[in-house]
Amino acid sequence: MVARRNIIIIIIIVVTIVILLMRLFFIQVLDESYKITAANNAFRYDVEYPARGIIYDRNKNILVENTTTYDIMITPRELKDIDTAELCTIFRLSPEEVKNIFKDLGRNRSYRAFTFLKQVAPERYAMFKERADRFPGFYAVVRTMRVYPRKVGGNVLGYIKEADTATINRNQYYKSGDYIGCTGIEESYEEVLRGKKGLSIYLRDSRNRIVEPYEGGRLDTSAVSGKNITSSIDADLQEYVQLLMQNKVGSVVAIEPSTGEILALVSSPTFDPALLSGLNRGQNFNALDSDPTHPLYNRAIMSRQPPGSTFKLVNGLIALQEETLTTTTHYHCGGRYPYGKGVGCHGHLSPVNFTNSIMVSCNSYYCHVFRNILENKKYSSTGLALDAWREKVQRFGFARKLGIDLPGEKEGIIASKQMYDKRYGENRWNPLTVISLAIGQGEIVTTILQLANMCATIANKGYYYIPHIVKAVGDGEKIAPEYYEKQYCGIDEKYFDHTIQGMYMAVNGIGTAWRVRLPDIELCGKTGTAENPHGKNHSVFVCFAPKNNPKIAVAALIENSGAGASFAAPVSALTVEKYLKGKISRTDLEQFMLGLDLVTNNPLYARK
Amino acid sequence: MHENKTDFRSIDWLSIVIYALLVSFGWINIYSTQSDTFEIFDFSKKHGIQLIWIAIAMMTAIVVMIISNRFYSVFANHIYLFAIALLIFTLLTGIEVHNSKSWISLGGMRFQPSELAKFATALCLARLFGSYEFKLNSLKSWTKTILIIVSPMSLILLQKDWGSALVFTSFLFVLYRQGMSGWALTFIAFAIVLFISSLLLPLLWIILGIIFITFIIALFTYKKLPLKAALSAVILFGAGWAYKYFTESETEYDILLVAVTAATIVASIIYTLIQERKLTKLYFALFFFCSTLTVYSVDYIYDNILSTHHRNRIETMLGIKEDIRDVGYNVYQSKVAIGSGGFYGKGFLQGTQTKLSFVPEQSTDFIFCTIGEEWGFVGSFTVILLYGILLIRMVVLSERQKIVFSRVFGYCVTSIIFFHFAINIAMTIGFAPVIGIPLPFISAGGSSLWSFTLLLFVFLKLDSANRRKNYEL
Repeated sequence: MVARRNIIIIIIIVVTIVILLMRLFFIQVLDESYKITAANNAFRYDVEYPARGIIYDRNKNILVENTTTYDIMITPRELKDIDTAELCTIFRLSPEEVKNIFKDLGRNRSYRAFTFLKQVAPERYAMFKERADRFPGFYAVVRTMRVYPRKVGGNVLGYIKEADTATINRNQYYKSGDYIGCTGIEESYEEVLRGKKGLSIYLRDSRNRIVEPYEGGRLDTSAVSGKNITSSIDADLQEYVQLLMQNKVGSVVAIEPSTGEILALVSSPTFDPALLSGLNRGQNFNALDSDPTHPLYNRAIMSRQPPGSTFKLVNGLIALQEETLTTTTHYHCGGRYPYGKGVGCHGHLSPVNFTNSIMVSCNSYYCHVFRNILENKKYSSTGLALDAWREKVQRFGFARKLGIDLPGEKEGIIASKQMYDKRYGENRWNPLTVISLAIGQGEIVTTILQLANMCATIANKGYYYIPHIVKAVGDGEKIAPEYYEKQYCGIDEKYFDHTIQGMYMAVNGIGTAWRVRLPDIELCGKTGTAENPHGKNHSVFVCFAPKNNPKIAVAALIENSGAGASFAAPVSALTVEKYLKGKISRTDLEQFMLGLDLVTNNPLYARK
Repeated sequence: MHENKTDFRSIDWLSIVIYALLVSFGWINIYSTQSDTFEIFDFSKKHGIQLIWIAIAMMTAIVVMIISNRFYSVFANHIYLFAIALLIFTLLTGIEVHNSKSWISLGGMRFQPSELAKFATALCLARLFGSYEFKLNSLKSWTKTILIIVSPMSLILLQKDWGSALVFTSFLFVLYRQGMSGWALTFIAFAIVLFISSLLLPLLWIILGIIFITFIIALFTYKKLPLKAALSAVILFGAGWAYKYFTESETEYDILLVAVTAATIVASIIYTLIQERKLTKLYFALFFFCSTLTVYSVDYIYDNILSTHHRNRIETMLGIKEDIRDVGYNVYQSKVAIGSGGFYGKGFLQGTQTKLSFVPEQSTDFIFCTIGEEWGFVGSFTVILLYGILLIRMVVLSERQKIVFSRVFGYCVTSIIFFHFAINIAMTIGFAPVIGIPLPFISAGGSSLWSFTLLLFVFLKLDSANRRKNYEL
């Protein structure tokens, strides 16, 4: 028995060997998949980065363009002893910095490249290229960097940054180190601007040298440049309004009523977009992010404030349409609306008709108007009347996103039956409880974009185009079709004449905005003073010009300043004059606005 | 002492030629992995260092041939105790490499005492079996044998060097040759198959398999097992399985199903026993219950006792988990390298996978990748063939030994080389978990080349002494 055991051991050895050989024959000879994978390993993928699209303003001025920089990469495996002193001279590094980089490298001897230096200027790269043979293992990758010749519109344009891990995981297109647009046009038109990366596949030999293009380059794709974008922004106007808004907190939006194109969109304080491009991006971002005035926050589409008296325009139009008010209705004003808790008013001629009520911005008048809207017999209850009113307000673009082609737009709030039922209890409130809605206070919160859009709607006598910041893509291609459709607000055209006349008189009659009268320009405007529980009132103004065939509608809000006529109105009027005339005749207003500083030394904006 | 003069004609030159071929071919492939240089005598590179080790190994071989063959049997126990001491010393003061504290530094040269321990254990085992009238049939002899094997093994396990510790299980072949029951070997093999299949296959299939095998054993044991009972068991099982299949019921029915079927089989067997009045051959019943128990306990052990690390390795090896990034990376890249070699290979120095650092440990544990990639199936076939010839030659030589000491030592050497060879190649092609043991004679690394040389040449010395006619004990 024992004698046979050596045979059994030999059999075990032979069987093992046969199994191993069968497996080897399978993976080496029969199975093709391992050969393909091996080829993958021996491939080198070279990504060609497309040039990002340029952004122009409406007059073909360049707002954003590209400049070439170079990322210097190291392949650790190919690294040899190099002259670090020379490296320091070329890239203007201190020996310590170089030493630290190599320390991080440690004993890493892989073929996986890592970034040695980012965004090296072309002249430095030229110096490096001349001596590249002395630095084995070093090579350069071309990168494009955004530059901003006009230094305007930081909040409008946005910036580009390296895609983060979350983005890379979400979207197959992005790989580590790729750039992606963030906020502004850069974000909303990312796919248009970025173009498409190209890919070249090469075979490499055992020393990682490229031998030849794979399959003669048949599978290679070339990069497709990003499309250029023409913004509707007027760079000169944008620049001028930014200048006016310096040292104020607030925002200004100017719209061309006949198209819905945004001519200027200023959120103040703003930032120089160049700060978020280039080497100090991170540092600058942190500084801007921690600034108590929040320059990165796009107030024009995100900040929600009560519209104040500018909202009387909407209430008046709704009342006319509902026929709870006629243009000849007069109401007496004794300095205050005496019902309920009462609403104060200021001294003006009395009684006033509809047109004059706008001119003098009579609070009492609009309390009567709004009470009549809510007590309309058409609706069985105040609550239903309120919701009917709300619906009409929404058609002006309030309490919903207008759909501007910028990321982060906010909706705002308009009071509803549900809201008051929840707050006061069902049937526990009446028109007098909510009377402040009449004058644009209370449960009415809007963005400046929405106010500008409302103003454009009035200028157009009943319709608007969805406000948008991009005019055309690429070589005059149209943008999304919804931007070319008229949006009606549901008020008949005939009711607008009196409203517009009131706005005209507010500026050019004995109205609230007489101080911003412009020579040769028929400016129509409406002031607003939004009560602010945290400090001085917010100054609000909406206006458009000319009265016939309007070219520009503007809404402005300056936080913590005072009456609408004093601060927002001059800014708006100057904006209109700048756009229509190209020069300023009201230099007094200009001087006043330029000299006004509401930020420095203001404890509200003090760094904590 | 005339027998100490080595007679060149008495040396087994076939083994030495294969040894020389494997070492040279190994060096060529180590050189190929160090692609950055063409300098042969570059002692900062692995192939340069390997040259030094080859020289040391050759000197060792010559010294072994000069020293008396009696030295090994006389000093076997001393060498064994020295090796154990060295292992303890390593455990206390060793250097940690890849999580294993298994290296000691000897004047700048690193050395793995576990390599010496294999040699020492082989000698000690040979001496024990060679002692007067030793037979593996008493508790005392078993205790001694197991103690000799398990002591160094557990010390190496304490160093967390799993691979080297597992090599000691190869002594099972030696024990088998020296009289251990063949059932034990079969049992171990079956346990491994059962373990793997219980991880891979649905429980029901395994139970089905076990029942089937039990039935066959029972049929062979009792030739008159009533066909009706057998048939009813099968039908019952099939009906139960069909019920489960159609109702898609959950696993709780499995146990019921198995229990009912088992009861039927047991009943039919008991019936046969009463008929035949023979109660002695109960192997099959034992087999059935042990197997079933094993299958049910594997899941528990697997989920509750093994660590995630080991689970991952096992799952990757079994292909349950397709993970080419993490644990499976080494094996995946290794398979790709070998597979890409094709039939004729890419040619010397032309491999891309092993050179471009796709494969880790390319000159040591994964040297076979370079062989597979650059020399193709032809190369791997040749290498495996050389090992095959060497191993079979050694079994033949061992069997030829007149004295037990030499024969047992021969089997020990064969088992160790076989284990290393089989597991190393199997792990590079995804047939065994990556336990990190070198390929004998080929892998770069001083300790392993030196210890394999020592093992082989001591045996060749013993064999040469055995061949001479005037050899005396």
